[in-house]
Amino acid sequence: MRGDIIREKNLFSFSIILIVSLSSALLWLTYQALRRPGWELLTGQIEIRFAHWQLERGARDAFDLLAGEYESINPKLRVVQIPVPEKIFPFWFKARLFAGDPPDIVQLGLGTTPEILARSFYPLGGIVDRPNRHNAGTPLAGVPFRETFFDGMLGGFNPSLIEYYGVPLSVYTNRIIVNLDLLRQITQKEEIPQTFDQLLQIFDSVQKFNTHSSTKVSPIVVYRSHGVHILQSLFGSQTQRMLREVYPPGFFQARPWLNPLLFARGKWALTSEPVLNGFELMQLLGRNLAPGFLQLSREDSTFQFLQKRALMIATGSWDAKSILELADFRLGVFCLPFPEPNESRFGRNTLGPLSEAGTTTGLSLGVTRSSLNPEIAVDFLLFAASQKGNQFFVNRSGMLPSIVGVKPPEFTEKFLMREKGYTQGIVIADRTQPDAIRVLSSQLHQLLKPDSSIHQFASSLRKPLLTAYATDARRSLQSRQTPILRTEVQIAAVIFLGRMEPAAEILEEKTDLLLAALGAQYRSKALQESALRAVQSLLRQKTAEIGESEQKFSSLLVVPQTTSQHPPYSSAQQNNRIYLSKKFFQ
Amino acid sequence: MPLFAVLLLSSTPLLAQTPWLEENTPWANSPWGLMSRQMFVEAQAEFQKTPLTSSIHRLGYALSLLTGSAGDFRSQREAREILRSLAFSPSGGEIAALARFFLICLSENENAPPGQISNSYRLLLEERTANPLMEMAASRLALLEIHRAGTDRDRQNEVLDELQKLESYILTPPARREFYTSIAFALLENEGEPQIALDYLLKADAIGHPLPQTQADTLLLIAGLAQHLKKNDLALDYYRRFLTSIRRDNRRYEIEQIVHKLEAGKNEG
Repeated sequence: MRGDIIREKNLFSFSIILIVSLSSALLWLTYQALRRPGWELLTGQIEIRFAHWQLERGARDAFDLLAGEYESINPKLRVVQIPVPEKIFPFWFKARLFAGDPPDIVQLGLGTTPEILARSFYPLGGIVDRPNRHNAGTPLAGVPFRETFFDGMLGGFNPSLIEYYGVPLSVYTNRIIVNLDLLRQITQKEEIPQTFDQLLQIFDSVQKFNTHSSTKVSPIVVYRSHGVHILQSLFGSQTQRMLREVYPPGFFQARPWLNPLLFARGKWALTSEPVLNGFELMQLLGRNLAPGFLQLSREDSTFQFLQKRALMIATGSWDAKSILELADFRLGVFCLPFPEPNESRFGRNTLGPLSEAGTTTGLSLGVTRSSLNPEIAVDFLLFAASQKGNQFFVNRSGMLPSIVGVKPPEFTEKFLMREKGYTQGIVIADRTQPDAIRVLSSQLHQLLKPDSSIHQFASSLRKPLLTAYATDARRSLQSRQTPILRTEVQIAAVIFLGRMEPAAEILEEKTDLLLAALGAQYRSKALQESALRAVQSLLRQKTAEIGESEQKFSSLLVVPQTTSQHPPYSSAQQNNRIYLSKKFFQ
Repeated sequence: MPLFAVLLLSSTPLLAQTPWLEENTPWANSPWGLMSRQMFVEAQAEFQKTPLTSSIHRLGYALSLLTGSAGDFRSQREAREILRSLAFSPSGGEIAALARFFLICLSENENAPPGQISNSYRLLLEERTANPLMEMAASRLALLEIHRAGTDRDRQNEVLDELQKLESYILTPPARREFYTSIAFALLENEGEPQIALDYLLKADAIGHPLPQTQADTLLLIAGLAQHLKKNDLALDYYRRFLTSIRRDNRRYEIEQIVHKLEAGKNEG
């Protein structure tokens, strides 16, 4: 009797354990199944989702076409695009990432910091040296994947992680698109300007046209950031020779933070002749940009052009197809002409047009680690970046190709990179100096208003620009520390692995690349620190000169202790062997 | 099909293997493997799975804390404490030296007196660790001191004399290359002697630059400096090397023009 009770109890316990185990297994399987999109459950098809911010009409159609072509050769697959507006893309992506449900494929560039890339995306180093199987039967058959891109796939390479994370599908260039019908109406001819003087003549014609026309036309419409960019490009044409004079020999292009350093050391000034000429050019072009361009969004500027409220639009290759399809007038495309060296007014300080030979590929797509089917996601990207796939893509999107041997559509050909040309000269602010760009943008009205003086503009820019350089340098130096530390720790890890593991050769190569990247990071940081010290010193002098309160700039005048005058290797310190002292590290 | 079977099928990984992935290497998901791919948070969790007994394990854990918890003050403090204890452990060795290297770097970031920082880097280098990362201390030191000397040529020469003494302590070629390149760049950015910068760049070039961007910059700096110093044959040689090895660069067209001019001058001469 007692034995039966025990047996029953055991049986009951066993049943409970069995039920709990089975329930747990069922729950786990349900969770795993629910991670898959509903589509897969219902149809048995595998779904690959990819998110991007290329909302231009052509791009979305082209992605649909690519997806359709890929599905036709893989009937068990379904490829779905998720277009997300550029403004909210980083927030949207981070929210999906933290929720554990990012799409399989994501466009890289907005919100994909090196940390996020390393943790949330698959490195693609393993596929770049293998041929792309989708190139079979084409001239690119057997060619390593990386070599099938016209730039060696640089657009997919992350220089701080020394790894490929993206597959680039296009390349971006900037051009001016002109309404040919309106051009004829205004100038009685359809001549696209080849020189800067011809462009100025068109501006004059538009002004005359506006005096007797009921509808006012802007010569050029452009959206905010692009407006500042093209004004600075034109400015940079006047400082090409100056760069080669004030830079050390052998630097044929601007080095980030060397401009502010040389500025603070008085090697160039806002009152230098080339700089004043640059401001004059900015004034000439800026006064012919659509009023209020600094507030215009991309969509606003395109809308103005399509409504024939502007004769020309300055934009990029990404907009080519949309404008071509939406415009009910004929279009012409040209590069913003720069003053040539033989021109009397602005030729003296210039070398010539800007080269685009170094433009790297863009529209890069990466595969997230959360993807349930990374192999398929990568295969889709290989298809998209095959000669056939990229041809489909550019034909439909009107964008420029990233793959060797792919021909752009006729209209887009005018966006192809200009190989002959020179590098830009010294500019007021580059993309590493956002505060300086903001200062320039906010002061532009001083230059563009009707009765403005270039000298006055130059002198009004000086103090806020120096302050902005200091702010930018401090912010940037702070943000550099963690990436440098991460590279150092990564190198330490690779070195240890190299000693422990048989794959030492690969790791040795990786160590070499990482050390080279670390050296470059050290050098730019040191230059930035030097620029900051020079700018701070000048700010202090200026503050003392004009008798302003030191308090005003106190936050900017905190000079890092590296400027204090310690001898490099004092004997006292050597004798103390200070680095061995625990006190030093506490 | 029963529900259970549907769930089972749908949860089965579709592709068990992704052969192109680095993750498939045996070491990839070890804590050091994760750190080698900059997955510091994941590495930290792996290090915590086993007791922190060995010094290498403790060093790894401290480094993962430093990099994986950038905003967490408590973790940063814990990491520094571990590094300090390793740096002054009686057993010493490479782990202790690495811990010291990271502590000095952290102190430099926190604006410790530059003289002390330089001295610490120099003493670390004197240990001849033959570890390329620790030998990068030479680059840090060179950049710190040359930029501190600024445009004062006499101070620059004093610093260069001191730096020259360090060369024999740098045993690995990549660290040597970065040391030479850093000296040259810092000198040029501070109006240093072009001939000295050229000599250092040539030494770095002899070792070879693995990154195309640095290679392109170095080739052009050597060529430009050589041309400036009227060494036209050397300049021509390096301009040509740039054109042969760098396929796409905004400077190509200008360099082609310079090469034509130099060749024409050579033929006339």
